[in-house]
Amino acid sequence: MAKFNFYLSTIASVWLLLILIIGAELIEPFKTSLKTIFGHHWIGKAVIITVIFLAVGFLFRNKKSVGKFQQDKIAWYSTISSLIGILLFFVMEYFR
Amino acid sequence: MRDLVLFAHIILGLVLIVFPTLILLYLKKKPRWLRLLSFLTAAISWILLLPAGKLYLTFYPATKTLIKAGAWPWVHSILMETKEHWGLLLPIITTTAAGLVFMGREKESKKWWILTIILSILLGVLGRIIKIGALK
Repeated sequence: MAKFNFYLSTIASVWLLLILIIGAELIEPFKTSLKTIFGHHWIGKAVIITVIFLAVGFLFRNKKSVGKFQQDKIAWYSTISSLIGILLFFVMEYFR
Repeated sequence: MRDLVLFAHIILGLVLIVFPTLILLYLKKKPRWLRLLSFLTAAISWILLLPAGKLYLTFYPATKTLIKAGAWPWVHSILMETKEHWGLLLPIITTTAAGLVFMGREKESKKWWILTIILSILLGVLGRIIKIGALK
């Protein structure tokens, strides 16, 4: 029995970070809420994705696949997509 | 205080290039210390958030004002915004790499260690460009 599902926790946290970034930049009250609760939006994002990383990893420690897809491939492509997505989002925001 | 935090930030960042490189070099041989070094690397990737956060939250706002008033405002809007968020993914990526080593899936961990190295280098390069951007 696995003790932690690193792939699913990675998938959840990398996509969540991208959602939090886009949400905070496009919805001002959401960014303000993060600041109010955590002191700074960056700290808020760090805390939230860390909690989700740990929670998903423990809760789904026995889950072997996501549908017919292999978790390792989804985790890898999700991470690369999130990294590129973050850069592209800020490029688009700058020129918007 | 600022210099101390900056040095810690740079040194820990360099460690996240050196340690994963060592891990990659010995990944096939699976020496006894591989798990310990993997654990240390993952731990350092989380600890690195402390000087990174202190620099970003306490000392960067003044630099940001300079950058936004200068000739390269995109340095903040694109590069710093990207850097501060890519930095949050570094401990996730490194912990996944270390976790795979602990699970005996060293071969699978290889690309995650490579990504740790590439991301650490990119973060360093972005930091340098941001520093230059403040002088423009």
